[in-house]
Amino acid sequence: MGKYILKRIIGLVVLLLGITIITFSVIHIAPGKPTDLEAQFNPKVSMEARERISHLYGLDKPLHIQYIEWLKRFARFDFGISFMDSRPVMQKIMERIPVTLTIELFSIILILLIGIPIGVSSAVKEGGFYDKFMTVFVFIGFAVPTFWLSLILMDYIGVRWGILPISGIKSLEFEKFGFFEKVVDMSKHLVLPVLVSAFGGLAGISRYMRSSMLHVLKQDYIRTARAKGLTEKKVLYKHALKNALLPIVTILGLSVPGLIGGSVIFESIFSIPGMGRLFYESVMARDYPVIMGVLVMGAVLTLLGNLLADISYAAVDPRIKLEDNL
Amino acid sequence: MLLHIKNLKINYKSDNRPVEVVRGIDLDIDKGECVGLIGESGCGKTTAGLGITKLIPERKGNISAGEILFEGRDVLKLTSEELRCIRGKKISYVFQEPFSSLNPVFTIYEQMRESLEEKDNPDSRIAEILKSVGLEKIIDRKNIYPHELSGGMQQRAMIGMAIAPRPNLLVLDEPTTALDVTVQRQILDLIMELKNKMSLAILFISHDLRIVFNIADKVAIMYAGKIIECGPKEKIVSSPAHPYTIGLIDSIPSLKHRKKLFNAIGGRAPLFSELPEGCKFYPRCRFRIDKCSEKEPELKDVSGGQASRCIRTISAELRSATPIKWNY
Repeated sequence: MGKYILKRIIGLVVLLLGITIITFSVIHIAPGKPTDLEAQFNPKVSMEARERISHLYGLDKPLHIQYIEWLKRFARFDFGISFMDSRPVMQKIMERIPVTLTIELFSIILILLIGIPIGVSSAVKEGGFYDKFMTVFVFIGFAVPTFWLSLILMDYIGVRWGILPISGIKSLEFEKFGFFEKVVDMSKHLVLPVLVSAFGGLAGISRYMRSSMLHVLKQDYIRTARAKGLTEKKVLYKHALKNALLPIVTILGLSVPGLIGGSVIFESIFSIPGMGRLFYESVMARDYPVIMGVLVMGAVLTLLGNLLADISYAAVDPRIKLEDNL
Repeated sequence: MLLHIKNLKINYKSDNRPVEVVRGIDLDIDKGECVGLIGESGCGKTTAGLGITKLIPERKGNISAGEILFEGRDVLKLTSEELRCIRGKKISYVFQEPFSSLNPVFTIYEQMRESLEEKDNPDSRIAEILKSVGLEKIIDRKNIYPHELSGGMQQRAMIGMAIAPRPNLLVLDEPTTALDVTVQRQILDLIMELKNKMSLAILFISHDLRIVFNIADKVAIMYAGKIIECGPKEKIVSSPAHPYTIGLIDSIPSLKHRKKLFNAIGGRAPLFSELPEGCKFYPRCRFRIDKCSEKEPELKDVSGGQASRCIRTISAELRSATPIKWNY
């Protein structure tokens, strides 16, 4: 087991290297330069000044040299300094992560809490009215554009009924609040983003759960369980459910990068200072170090999520053993 | 009489109209008796076995008529709660594929514990059962999962689960079909040993004539959802009365004539959606006469408890004089 994990991690490092080469090239080859914002659009900036800025950022060197220099810093866990405000990239990312993490974590918990029961109960009542209703419901969630739903909710809940705040994560007078009030205030701000994000993700997990449960209910061992004279409850929620939940572990592993990545769309709409927004802003400004920082962070988490899914799969499914000699 | 099945009919749902798969069968099983139910795949034998405790999933089909008297009570009239007290307690099952019939994510110990009667102490009773099914090796290994056992051991575990609640009737649905021949022998020996020790009644469902003739006291042969011949094993082996039974017995490969082709029955079993008029075996029968296609024959007594659903009397002379047809 230990050896297996070590081998996998070595493999992941190689994979990560490949990912960084590709993303680095794509970002630098894409049209637009970081110097555009301060130079291109300003006629007063002379040619020499432009070259000076380029030189300052190291953008005048060949691409592979730039990459190697980036890699050298990355090896020391240094993502460099943002072109926009000259602050360390790591610091900028760390500021943004908690908000996104909170929203995404709550949203995935909500998705699991609602999606799994919907999937299981739909499968048990396959083909009935309830099943069809739930299918339509979750697909509406999947099909409705996030921005539209967000705007509708903001209009009704936030503006017309005035129940919840519609943007940001803190009220203006936040600093004056006591600890308890601060928690309440932030929770209020997070309700809508969490709901919107969870509604969209509901279809995936509940449909997956439904088909997994349907598959399991057709298995011979379910007939055995019934033939033993177990109650229907035990047949469904002990014998069937445990088997049906196994594939969900993989999905959870794959959702890890989303936890940190956040959503560009609803973070922009709700003015939430999270990772999605940071990424959007840095792409717009061609802030190479920040873009690379966010992408590499996402890549690392995706790879770790996969590894985590494989390991936890072995933990929950007795049939799977991680072989050391792989 | 332990089990008395009368005119049992079972329908399966299909796209347009329900298909009757068990078309009215009668079957009696006495205490401690082993009845073999024989038939080709798709003749309704498994469905009939499941029907005894209403194990056919509602979305797939239902029992449309008949009576199943078990220890004097009609199973079909019981509430689902009462039914559960019979399922796996008084009537238990062993299915064909041991590997897929055991839940992969629960230990053998846990799955066996579920079958026990409440009064039993789990540890000692499970040890006792494991010993009686020849699984002494895993008595001290509570954390063993089904996939860690061989096919034969898995089937032993299934049999152990089935006998754990001390049932009166054991329904064995092709219990040895998925196993290789040497293991088949061991499992059959185990079944016979348990039957004698526990005076179990057994319904042995199989397509394998030789196995059934080996272990059954009484034999019933099904074709297209009906029993076409039944009676004591010796009678059926020595003087089969129905052409289908004759065909089945003739098609057992013999060790003496190694080079000869198998004397298979021509054609294939009809689909339930397109059963022929009259005798359902008519199109494949080598003894057929025109009258056979008029009306489906009733099951009528031949002699000494043997009954056959055929209008002709097929003597030994007629049998040897009629050539086996190859009408594929």
